[in-house]
Amino acid sequence: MSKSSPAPSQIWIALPLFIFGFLHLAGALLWLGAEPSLLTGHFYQPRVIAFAHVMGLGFLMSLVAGSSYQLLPVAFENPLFSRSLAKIHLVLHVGGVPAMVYGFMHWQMSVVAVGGTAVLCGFALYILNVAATALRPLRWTPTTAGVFASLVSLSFALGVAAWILAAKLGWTAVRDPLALLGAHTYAILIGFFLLFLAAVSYTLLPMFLLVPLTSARRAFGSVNYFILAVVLFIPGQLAAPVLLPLAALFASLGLGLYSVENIAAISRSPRRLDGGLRLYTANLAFLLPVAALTLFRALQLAGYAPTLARGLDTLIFTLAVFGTLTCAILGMGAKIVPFLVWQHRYAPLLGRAAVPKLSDLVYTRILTALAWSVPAAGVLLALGVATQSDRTVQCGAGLFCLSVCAFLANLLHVLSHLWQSKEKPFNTTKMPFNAVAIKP
Amino acid sequence: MSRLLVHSLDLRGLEPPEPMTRIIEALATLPAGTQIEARLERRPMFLLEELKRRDQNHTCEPHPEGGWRLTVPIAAAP
Repeated sequence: MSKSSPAPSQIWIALPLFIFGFLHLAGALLWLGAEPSLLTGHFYQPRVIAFAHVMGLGFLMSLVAGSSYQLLPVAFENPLFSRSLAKIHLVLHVGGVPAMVYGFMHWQMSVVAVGGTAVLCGFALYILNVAATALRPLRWTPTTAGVFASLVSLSFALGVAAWILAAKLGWTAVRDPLALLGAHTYAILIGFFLLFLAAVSYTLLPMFLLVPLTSARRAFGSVNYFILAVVLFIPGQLAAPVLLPLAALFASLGLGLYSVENIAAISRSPRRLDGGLRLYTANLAFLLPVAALTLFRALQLAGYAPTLARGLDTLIFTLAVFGTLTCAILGMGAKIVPFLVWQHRYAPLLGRAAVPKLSDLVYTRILTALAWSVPAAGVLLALGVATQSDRTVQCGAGLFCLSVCAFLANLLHVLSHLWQSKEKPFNTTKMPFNAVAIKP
Repeated sequence: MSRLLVHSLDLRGLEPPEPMTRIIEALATLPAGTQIEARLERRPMFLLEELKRRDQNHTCEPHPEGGWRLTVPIAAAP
Protein backbone atom coordinates (compact mmCIF):
# COMPACT_ATOMS: atom_id res chain seq x y z
CA MET A 1 0.00 0.00 0.00
CA SER A 2 1.41 3.36 -0.87
CA LYS A 3 1.37 6.41 1.29
CA SER A 4 1.37 9.44 2.09
CA SER A 5 0.40 12.76 0.61
CA PRO A 6 -0.42 15.52 3.14
CA ALA A 7 -3.71 14.93 4.93
CA PRO A 8 -6.41 17.17 3.42
CA SER A 9 -8.14 17.50 6.78
CA GLN A 10 -10.47 20.38 7.70
CA ILE A 11 -8.80 20.60 11.10
CA TRP A 12 -6.84 23.80 10.46
CA ILE A 13 -10.00 25.58 9.32
CA ALA A 14 -12.59 24.27 11.78
CA LEU A 15 -10.43 24.01 14.91
CA PRO A 16 -9.26 27.66 14.98
CA LEU A 17 -12.89 28.74 14.54
CA PHE A 18 -13.94 26.49 17.44
CA ILE A 19 -11.18 27.77 19.72
CA PHE A 20 -11.93 31.39 18.76
CA GLY A 21 -15.59 30.74 19.59
CA PHE A 22 -14.95 29.04 22.95
CA LEU A 23 -12.65 31.89 24.03
CA HIS A 24 -15.36 34.42 23.14
CA LEU A 25 -17.87 32.47 25.21
CA ALA A 26 -15.51 32.40 28.20
CA GLY A 27 -14.81 36.14 27.78
CA ALA A 28 -18.52 36.97 27.47
CA LEU A 29 -19.34 35.05 30.65
CA LEU A 30 -16.58 36.74 32.66
CA TRP A 31 -17.80 40.10 31.39
CA LEU A 32 -21.39 39.21 32.30
CA GLY A 33 -20.34 38.15 35.80
CA ALA A 34 -18.62 41.50 36.30
CA GLU A 35 -21.40 43.53 34.68
CA PRO A 36 -24.79 41.77 35.06
CA SER A 37 -26.62 44.91 33.90
CA LEU A 38 -25.72 43.76 30.38
CA LEU A 39 -28.78 41.52 30.67
CA THR A 40 -30.86 43.40 33.24
CA GLY A 41 -30.50 46.90 31.76
CA HIS A 42 -31.87 48.40 28.53
CA PHE A 43 -30.63 46.61 25.42
CA TYR A 44 -29.96 49.64 23.19
CA GLN A 45 -26.60 50.64 24.72
CA PRO A 46 -23.10 50.38 23.21
CA ARG A 47 -21.84 47.83 25.74
CA VAL A 48 -24.93 45.63 25.40
CA ILE A 49 -24.66 45.68 21.62
CA ALA A 50 -20.94 44.84 21.92
CA PHE A 51 -21.83 41.98 24.31
CA ALA A 52 -24.51 40.66 21.94
CA HIS A 53 -21.91 40.57 19.15
CA VAL A 54 -19.36 38.77 21.35
CA MET A 55 -21.99 36.06 21.90
CA GLY A 56 -23.61 36.11 18.46
CA LEU A 57 -20.62 36.66 16.18
CA GLY A 58 -17.65 35.71 18.35
CA PHE A 59 -19.13 32.57 19.89
CA LEU A 60 -22.14 31.26 17.96
CA MET A 61 -21.17 32.26 14.42
CA SER A 62 -17.60 30.97 14.86
CA LEU A 63 -18.84 27.59 16.02
CA VAL A 64 -21.53 27.40 13.36
CA ALA A 65 -18.95 28.21 10.67
CA GLY A 66 -16.46 25.69 12.08
CA SER A 67 -19.18 23.03 12.28
CA SER A 68 -20.30 23.85 8.76
CA TYR A 69 -16.90 23.20 7.23
CA GLN A 70 -16.69 19.84 8.99
CA LEU A 71 -20.31 18.67 9.03
CA LEU A 72 -21.96 20.01 5.92
CA PRO A 73 -19.82 18.00 3.47
CA VAL A 74 -21.03 14.90 5.38
CA ALA A 75 -24.64 16.11 5.38
CA PHE A 76 -24.58 17.03 1.67
CA GLU A 77 -22.48 13.95 0.79
CA ASN A 78 -20.22 16.21 -1.29
CA PRO A 79 -16.66 17.37 -0.66
CA LEU A 80 -16.18 20.95 0.53
CA PHE A 81 -16.21 23.23 -2.52
CA SER A 82 -13.11 25.22 -1.55
CA ARG A 83 -10.73 24.99 1.39
CA SER A 84 -9.05 28.20 0.23
CA LEU A 85 -12.30 30.19 0.53
CA ALA A 86 -12.80 28.72 4.01
CA LYS A 87 -9.28 29.78 5.04
CA ILE A 88 -9.88 33.34 3.77
CA HIS A 89 -13.17 33.37 5.71
CA LEU A 90 -11.33 32.26 8.84
CA VAL A 91 -8.82 35.11 8.53
CA LEU A 92 -11.50 37.75 7.82
CA HIS A 93 -13.67 36.51 10.69
CA VAL A 94 -10.88 36.32 13.27
CA GLY A 95 -9.66 39.78 12.26
CA GLY A 96 -13.07 41.42 11.88
CA VAL A 97 -14.99 40.31 14.98
CA PRO A 98 -12.66 41.84 17.63
CA ALA A 99 -12.61 45.12 15.66
CA MET A 100 -16.42 45.17 15.55
CA VAL A 101 -16.72 44.46 19.26
CA TYR A 102 -14.17 47.17 20.10
CA GLY A 103 -16.00 49.62 17.82
CA PHE A 104 -19.37 48.90 19.45
CA MET A 105 -17.94 49.20 22.97
CA HIS A 106 -16.47 52.62 22.26
CA TRP A 107 -19.24 53.53 19.80
CA GLN A 108 -16.73 54.22 17.04
CA MET A 109 -18.72 53.42 13.93
CA SER A 110 -15.72 53.78 11.62
CA VAL A 111 -14.01 50.90 13.48
CA VAL A 112 -17.25 48.89 13.34
CA ALA A 113 -17.33 49.57 9.59
CA VAL A 114 -13.80 48.23 9.08
CA GLY A 115 -14.41 45.10 11.18
CA GLY A 116 -17.92 44.70 9.79
CA THR A 117 -16.68 44.82 6.20
CA ALA A 118 -14.18 42.03 6.95
CA VAL A 119 -16.87 39.93 8.66
CA LEU A 120 -19.37 40.62 5.86
CA CYS A 121 -16.86 39.61 3.15
CA GLY A 122 -16.00 36.49 5.19
CA PHE A 123 -19.63 35.47 5.41
CA ALA A 124 -20.17 36.17 1.70
CA LEU A 125 -17.40 33.60 1.05
CA TYR A 126 -18.97 31.23 3.61
CA ILE A 127 -22.38 31.44 1.92
CA LEU A 128 -20.82 30.88 -1.52
CA ASN A 129 -18.75 27.94 -0.26
CA VAL A 130 -21.63 26.20 1.54
CA ALA A 131 -24.07 26.74 -1.35
CA ALA A 132 -21.53 25.48 -3.92
CA THR A 133 -20.80 22.42 -1.74
CA ALA A 134 -24.51 21.58 -1.63
CA LEU A 135 -24.89 21.96 -5.39
CA ARG A 136 -22.27 19.41 -6.54
CA PRO A 137 -24.69 17.59 -7.04
CA LEU A 138 -27.76 18.73 -5.11
CA ARG A 139 -29.53 16.09 -2.97
CA TRP A 140 -32.75 17.60 -1.70
CA THR A 141 -33.12 16.65 1.97
CA PRO A 142 -34.56 18.56 4.97
CA THR A 143 -30.96 19.46 5.89
CA THR A 144 -30.21 20.93 2.45
CA ALA A 145 -33.51 22.84 2.34
CA GLY A 146 -33.00 24.23 5.85
CA VAL A 147 -29.38 25.21 5.27
CA PHE A 148 -30.27 27.00 2.02
CA ALA A 149 -33.11 28.90 3.74
CA SER A 150 -30.83 29.80 6.65
CA LEU A 151 -28.24 31.16 4.20
CA VAL A 152 -30.91 33.41 2.67
CA SER A 153 -31.83 34.67 6.17
CA LEU A 154 -28.18 35.24 6.98
CA SER A 155 -27.74 37.26 3.77
CA PHE A 156 -30.76 39.36 4.70
CA ALA A 157 -29.54 39.90 8.28
CA LEU A 158 -26.09 40.93 7.04
CA GLY A 159 -27.69 43.31 4.53
CA VAL A 160 -29.79 44.91 7.30
CA ALA A 161 -26.69 45.22 9.49
CA ALA A 162 -24.85 47.00 6.66
CA TRP A 163 -27.86 49.32 6.23
CA ILE A 164 -27.93 50.20 9.96
CA LEU A 165 -24.19 50.86 9.89
CA ALA A 166 -24.47 53.07 6.78
CA ALA A 167 -27.14 55.10 8.60
CA LYS A 168 -24.92 55.46 11.68
CA LEU A 169 -22.12 56.72 9.46
CA GLY A 170 -24.54 59.25 7.93
CA TRP A 171 -24.46 57.73 4.44
CA THR A 172 -28.19 56.98 4.37
CA ALA A 173 -31.32 57.72 6.40
CA VAL A 174 -33.30 55.21 8.47
CA ARG A 175 -36.79 56.00 9.71
CA ASP A 176 -36.87 53.52 12.60
CA PRO A 177 -33.47 52.08 13.59
CA LEU A 178 -34.98 49.98 16.41
CA ALA A 179 -37.31 48.25 13.95
CA LEU A 180 -34.32 47.48 11.71
CA LEU A 181 -32.39 46.19 14.72
CA GLY A 182 -35.36 43.94 15.56
CA ALA A 183 -35.48 42.62 11.97
CA HIS A 184 -31.72 41.97 12.09
CA THR A 185 -31.95 40.17 15.45
CA TYR A 186 -34.91 37.94 14.57
CA ALA A 187 -33.54 37.13 11.10
CA ILE A 188 -30.31 35.96 12.76
CA LEU A 189 -31.89 34.20 15.75
CA ILE A 190 -34.81 32.42 14.10
CA GLY A 191 -33.99 32.58 10.40
CA PHE A 192 -30.36 31.60 10.73
CA PHE A 193 -29.35 30.03 14.05
CA LEU A 194 -32.52 28.11 14.98
CA LEU A 195 -33.26 27.06 11.41
CA PHE A 196 -29.64 25.99 10.87
CA LEU A 197 -29.74 24.04 14.13
CA ALA A 198 -32.95 22.25 13.11
CA ALA A 199 -31.62 21.53 9.61
CA VAL A 200 -28.29 20.13 10.80
CA SER A 201 -29.98 18.06 13.52
CA TYR A 202 -31.83 16.11 10.81
CA THR A 203 -28.46 14.67 9.72
CA LEU A 204 -26.45 14.86 12.93
CA LEU A 205 -28.87 13.15 15.31
CA PRO A 206 -29.67 10.14 13.07
CA MET A 207 -25.93 9.72 12.46
CA PHE A 208 -25.03 9.65 16.16
CA LEU A 209 -28.22 8.00 17.45
CA LEU A 210 -27.98 5.26 14.79
CA VAL A 211 -31.58 5.66 13.63
CA PRO A 212 -32.99 6.92 10.31
CA LEU A 213 -34.84 10.22 10.19
CA THR A 214 -38.19 9.26 11.71
CA SER A 215 -40.30 11.49 9.42
CA ALA A 216 -38.88 13.41 6.45
CA ARG A 217 -42.30 15.04 6.06
CA ARG A 218 -42.17 16.41 9.61
CA ALA A 219 -38.60 17.61 9.11
CA PHE A 220 -39.50 19.39 5.85
CA GLY A 221 -42.58 20.78 7.61
CA SER A 222 -40.49 22.38 10.34
CA VAL A 223 -38.17 23.95 7.76
CA ASN A 224 -41.16 25.32 5.83
CA TYR A 225 -42.68 26.82 9.00
CA PHE A 226 -39.36 28.51 9.83
CA ILE A 227 -39.22 29.96 6.31
CA LEU A 228 -42.80 31.28 6.61
CA ALA A 229 -41.94 32.79 10.00
CA VAL A 230 -38.93 34.68 8.64
CA VAL A 231 -40.83 35.85 5.55
CA LEU A 232 -43.52 37.35 7.83
CA PHE A 233 -41.22 38.60 10.62
CA ILE A 234 -39.32 40.93 8.32
CA PRO A 235 -42.25 43.02 6.99
CA GLY A 236 -43.83 42.68 10.44
CA GLN A 237 -40.82 44.28 12.12
CA LEU A 238 -40.31 46.94 9.47
CA ALA A 239 -43.82 48.05 8.54
CA ALA A 240 -46.78 45.88 9.53
CA PRO A 241 -46.70 44.69 13.19
CA VAL A 242 -50.04 42.96 12.62
CA LEU A 243 -48.09 40.20 10.79
CA LEU A 244 -45.90 39.48 13.81
CA PRO A 245 -48.28 37.13 15.73
CA LEU A 246 -48.68 34.98 12.62
CA ALA A 247 -44.91 34.96 12.13
CA ALA A 248 -44.40 33.94 15.77
CA LEU A 249 -47.04 31.21 15.39
CA PHE A 250 -45.19 29.76 12.39
CA ALA A 251 -41.87 29.98 14.28
CA SER A 252 -43.48 28.10 17.20
CA LEU A 253 -44.81 25.42 14.86
CA GLY A 254 -41.33 25.07 13.32
CA LEU A 255 -39.75 24.71 16.76
CA GLY A 256 -42.51 22.27 17.82
CA LEU A 257 -41.99 19.95 14.83
CA TYR A 258 -38.22 20.15 15.31
CA SER A 259 -38.65 19.09 18.96
CA VAL A 260 -41.02 16.24 18.09
CA GLU A 261 -38.64 14.91 15.41
CA ASN A 262 -35.66 15.07 17.79
CA ILE A 263 -37.57 13.39 20.63
CA ALA A 264 -38.80 10.66 18.26
CA ALA A 265 -35.21 10.00 17.14
CA ILE A 266 -33.97 9.84 20.74
CA SER A 267 -36.76 7.49 21.84
CA ARG A 268 -36.07 5.10 18.93
CA SER A 269 -32.32 5.07 19.36
CA PRO A 270 -30.81 1.72 20.40
CA ARG A 271 -27.92 3.46 22.16
CA ARG A 272 -27.58 5.35 25.41
CA LEU A 273 -26.98 9.08 24.99
CA ASP A 274 -23.39 10.08 25.75
CA GLY A 275 -22.49 13.39 27.46
CA GLY A 276 -22.12 15.34 24.21
CA LEU A 277 -25.50 14.18 22.91
CA ARG A 278 -27.17 14.89 26.27
CA LEU A 279 -25.80 18.42 26.21
CA TYR A 280 -26.95 18.81 22.61
CA THR A 281 -30.48 17.57 23.33
CA ALA A 282 -30.79 19.80 26.44
CA ASN A 283 -31.50 22.60 23.95
CA LEU A 284 -35.02 21.15 23.54
CA ALA A 285 -35.94 22.11 27.11
CA PHE A 286 -35.71 25.81 26.26
CA LEU A 287 -37.81 25.73 23.10
CA LEU A 288 -41.23 25.88 24.74
CA PRO A 289 -40.51 29.10 26.71
CA VAL A 290 -38.77 30.62 23.67
CA ALA A 291 -41.80 29.87 21.47
CA ALA A 292 -44.36 31.03 24.07
CA LEU A 293 -42.54 34.28 24.85
CA THR A 294 -41.92 35.06 21.17
CA LEU A 295 -45.65 34.60 20.54
CA PHE A 296 -46.54 36.83 23.50
CA ARG A 297 -44.02 39.50 22.43
CA ALA A 298 -45.43 39.46 18.90
CA LEU A 299 -48.95 39.96 20.30
CA GLN A 300 -47.62 42.91 22.36
CA LEU A 301 -45.98 44.52 19.34
CA ALA A 302 -49.19 44.10 17.33
CA GLY A 303 -51.14 45.75 20.17
CA TYR A 304 -53.11 42.63 21.18
CA ALA A 305 -51.45 42.06 24.59
CA PRO A 306 -50.54 44.34 27.49
CA THR A 307 -46.95 45.34 28.28
CA LEU A 308 -46.38 43.57 31.60
CA ALA A 309 -42.70 44.20 32.08
CA ARG A 310 -39.74 45.53 30.18
CA GLY A 311 -36.94 43.30 29.06
CA LEU A 312 -39.01 40.65 27.27
CA ASP A 313 -36.75 40.88 24.19
CA THR A 314 -33.72 40.32 26.44
CA LEU A 315 -35.42 37.35 28.09
CA ILE A 316 -36.12 35.77 24.70
CA PHE A 317 -32.50 36.49 23.68
CA THR A 318 -31.22 34.91 26.92
CA LEU A 319 -33.32 31.75 26.60
CA ALA A 320 -32.54 31.34 22.91
CA VAL A 321 -28.83 32.18 23.05
CA PHE A 322 -27.70 30.94 26.50
CA GLY A 323 -30.25 28.12 26.60
CA THR A 324 -31.10 26.55 23.27
CA LEU A 325 -28.19 27.60 21.09
CA THR A 326 -25.40 27.30 23.66
CA CYS A 327 -26.49 23.79 24.73
CA ALA A 328 -26.85 22.68 21.12
CA ILE A 329 -23.62 24.20 19.89
CA LEU A 330 -21.48 23.12 22.85
CA GLY A 331 -22.96 19.63 22.46
CA MET A 332 -22.15 19.70 18.76
CA GLY A 333 -18.64 20.94 19.58
CA ALA A 334 -18.20 18.12 22.09
CA LYS A 335 -18.81 15.64 19.25
CA ILE A 336 -17.03 17.43 16.40
CA VAL A 337 -13.72 18.53 17.99
CA PRO A 338 -12.71 15.00 19.12
CA PHE A 339 -13.59 13.73 15.66
CA LEU A 340 -11.45 16.43 14.02
CA VAL A 341 -8.49 15.53 16.21
CA TRP A 342 -9.02 11.78 15.80
CA GLN A 343 -9.28 12.14 12.02
CA HIS A 344 -6.14 14.25 11.81
CA ARG A 345 -4.01 12.26 14.25
CA TYR A 346 -5.23 8.67 13.99
CA ALA A 347 -6.95 8.11 10.62
CA PRO A 348 -3.55 8.04 8.84
CA LEU A 349 -2.37 5.38 11.34
CA LEU A 350 -5.34 3.03 10.80
CA GLY A 351 -4.17 -0.37 9.62
CA ARG A 352 -0.66 0.37 10.88
CA ALA A 353 -1.28 0.84 14.61
CA ALA A 354 -4.03 0.20 17.17
CA VAL A 355 -5.51 3.65 17.59
CA PRO A 356 -7.68 4.93 20.48
CA LYS A 357 -11.44 4.98 20.06
CA LEU A 358 -13.17 8.33 19.68
CA SER A 359 -14.64 7.98 23.18
CA ASP A 360 -11.10 7.54 24.60
CA LEU A 361 -10.28 11.12 23.61
CA VAL A 362 -12.80 12.79 25.95
CA TYR A 363 -13.51 13.00 29.69
CA THR A 364 -16.95 11.38 29.64
CA ARG A 365 -17.77 12.40 33.25
CA ILE A 366 -17.11 16.07 32.49
CA LEU A 367 -19.40 15.96 29.47
CA THR A 368 -22.13 14.22 31.48
CA ALA A 369 -21.85 16.89 34.21
CA LEU A 370 -21.99 19.65 31.58
CA ALA A 371 -25.26 18.24 30.26
CA TRP A 372 -26.76 19.33 33.62
CA SER A 373 -24.73 22.40 34.55
CA VAL A 374 -25.01 24.30 31.23
CA PRO A 375 -28.83 24.15 31.07
CA ALA A 376 -29.00 24.97 34.81
CA ALA A 377 -26.83 28.06 34.23
CA GLY A 378 -29.09 29.05 31.31
CA VAL A 379 -32.15 28.77 33.58
CA LEU A 380 -30.46 30.91 36.27
CA LEU A 381 -29.60 33.60 33.74
CA ALA A 382 -33.17 33.61 32.42
CA LEU A 383 -34.52 33.87 35.99
CA GLY A 384 -32.18 36.78 36.64
CA VAL A 385 -33.40 38.58 33.54
CA ALA A 386 -37.06 37.84 34.29
CA THR A 387 -36.76 39.15 37.87
CA GLN A 388 -34.27 41.91 36.92
CA SER A 389 -31.92 40.51 39.59
CA ASP A 390 -28.23 41.28 39.10
CA ARG A 391 -27.27 38.73 41.78
CA THR A 392 -29.14 35.87 40.04
CA VAL A 393 -27.54 36.81 36.71
CA GLN A 394 -24.13 36.72 38.43
CA CYS A 395 -24.89 33.26 39.87
CA GLY A 396 -25.89 32.06 36.39
CA ALA A 397 -22.77 33.57 34.85
CA GLY A 398 -20.63 31.97 37.59
CA LEU A 399 -22.09 28.51 37.00
CA PHE A 400 -21.71 29.03 33.26
CA CYS A 401 -18.04 30.06 33.76
CA LEU A 402 -17.35 26.90 35.79
CA SER A 403 -19.03 24.81 33.08
CA VAL A 404 -17.01 26.48 30.32
CA CYS A 405 -13.79 25.93 32.33
CA ALA A 406 -14.67 22.23 32.56
CA PHE A 407 -15.47 22.23 28.84
CA LEU A 408 -12.09 23.84 28.09
CA ALA A 409 -10.31 21.26 30.31
CA ASN A 410 -11.94 18.52 28.25
CA LEU A 411 -10.97 20.40 25.07
CA LEU A 412 -7.32 20.56 26.19
CA HIS A 413 -7.41 16.82 26.91
CA VAL A 414 -8.73 16.20 23.39
CA LEU A 415 -6.16 18.54 21.82
CA SER A 416 -3.32 16.87 23.75
CA HIS A 417 -3.61 13.99 21.25
CA LEU A 418 -2.32 16.36 18.57
CA TRP A 419 1.11 16.54 20.20
CA GLN A 420 1.03 13.30 22.24
CA SER A 421 -0.12 10.45 20.04
CA LYS A 422 -1.43 7.43 21.97
CA GLU A 423 -1.48 4.60 19.42
CA LYS A 424 -0.24 1.07 20.23
CA PRO A 425 1.33 -1.65 18.06
CA PHE A 426 -1.15 -3.19 15.60
CA ASN A 427 -2.09 -6.84 16.24
CA THR A 428 -3.34 -8.34 12.95
CA THR A 429 -4.14 -11.74 14.47
CA LYS A 430 -7.06 -10.32 16.46
CA MET A 431 -8.95 -9.01 13.42
CA PRO A 432 -12.47 -10.51 13.21
CA PHE A 433 -13.79 -11.07 9.68
CA ASN A 434 -17.07 -11.89 8.02
CA ALA A 435 -17.34 -14.85 5.66
CA VAL A 436 -15.38 -14.47 2.46
CA ALA A 437 -17.42 -15.07 -0.71
CA ILE A 438 -15.87 -16.13 -3.99
CA LYS A 439 -16.78 -14.50 -7.30
CA PRO A 440 -15.83 -16.20 -10.54
CA MET B 1 -10.31 -17.21 -15.36
CA SER B 2 -8.85 -16.08 -11.99
CA ARG B 3 -11.15 -16.10 -8.97
CA LEU B 4 -11.90 -12.94 -7.00
CA LEU B 5 -12.23 -13.13 -3.22
CA VAL B 6 -14.86 -10.71 -2.01
CA HIS B 7 -14.98 -9.61 1.62
CA SER B 8 -18.44 -8.18 2.35
CA LEU B 9 -19.05 -5.73 5.16
CA ASP B 10 -22.39 -4.31 6.20
CA LEU B 11 -21.45 -1.16 8.08
CA ARG B 12 -24.88 0.39 8.37
CA GLY B 13 -25.89 1.36 11.88
CA LEU B 14 -22.35 2.10 13.07
CA GLU B 15 -21.36 5.42 14.62
CA PRO B 16 -18.61 7.36 12.82
CA PRO B 17 -15.68 6.73 12.57
CA GLU B 18 -16.27 2.98 13.05
CA PRO B 19 -16.97 2.27 9.33
CA MET B 20 -13.68 3.97 8.39
CA THR B 21 -11.78 1.99 11.04
CA ARG B 22 -13.22 -1.36 9.95
CA ILE B 23 -12.59 -0.81 6.24
CA ILE B 24 -9.01 0.40 6.60
CA GLU B 25 -8.13 -2.33 9.10
CA ALA B 26 -9.60 -4.90 6.70
CA LEU B 27 -7.53 -3.34 3.95
CA ALA B 28 -4.40 -3.81 6.04
CA THR B 29 -5.04 -7.41 7.03
CA LEU B 30 -6.78 -9.10 4.05
CA PRO B 31 -4.59 -10.79 1.44
CA ALA B 32 -3.78 -9.16 -1.89
CA GLY B 33 -6.29 -10.02 -4.59
CA THR B 34 -9.25 -9.64 -2.22
CA GLN B 35 -11.93 -7.05 -2.87
CA ILE B 36 -13.73 -5.30 -0.03
CA GLU B 37 -17.39 -4.57 -0.71
CA ALA B 38 -18.95 -2.44 2.02
CA ARG B 39 -22.49 -1.24 2.40
CA LEU B 40 -22.84 2.11 4.17
CA GLU B 41 -25.63 4.33 5.41
CA ARG B 42 -24.22 7.53 3.92
CA ARG B 43 -21.41 8.51 1.59
CA PRO B 44 -18.23 8.15 3.69
CA MET B 45 -16.66 11.51 2.93
CA PHE B 46 -13.72 11.25 5.34
CA LEU B 47 -12.98 7.62 4.41
CA LEU B 48 -12.91 8.59 0.73
CA GLU B 49 -10.39 11.33 1.59
CA GLU B 50 -8.27 8.83 3.52
CA LEU B 51 -8.36 6.27 0.68
CA LYS B 52 -7.39 9.00 -1.77
CA ARG B 53 -4.55 10.06 0.52
CA ARG B 54 -3.27 6.47 0.53
CA ASP B 55 -3.56 6.27 -3.30
CA GLN B 56 -5.94 3.36 -2.79
CA ASN B 57 -8.23 2.56 -5.76
CA HIS B 58 -11.92 2.53 -4.85
CA THR B 59 -15.38 3.21 -6.19
CA CYS B 60 -18.32 4.56 -4.22
CA GLU B 61 -21.77 4.59 -5.75
CA PRO B 62 -25.39 4.69 -4.57
CA HIS B 63 -26.74 1.27 -3.61
CA PRO B 64 -29.97 0.35 -5.45
CA GLU B 65 -31.69 -0.40 -2.12
CA GLY B 66 -30.54 2.83 -0.45
CA GLY B 67 -27.30 3.96 1.10
CA TRP B 68 -23.94 3.57 -0.62
CA ARG B 69 -21.74 0.72 -1.87
CA LEU B 70 -17.98 1.09 -1.51
CA THR B 71 -15.69 -1.24 -3.44
CA VAL B 72 -11.99 -1.39 -2.59
CA PRO B 73 -9.76 -3.86 -4.50
CA ILE B 74 -6.59 -4.83 -2.64
CA ALA B 75 -3.76 -4.93 -5.11
CA ALA B 76 -0.65 -7.08 -4.67
CA ALA B 77 2.30 -5.18 -3.25
CA PRO B 78 4.62 -3.98 -6.07
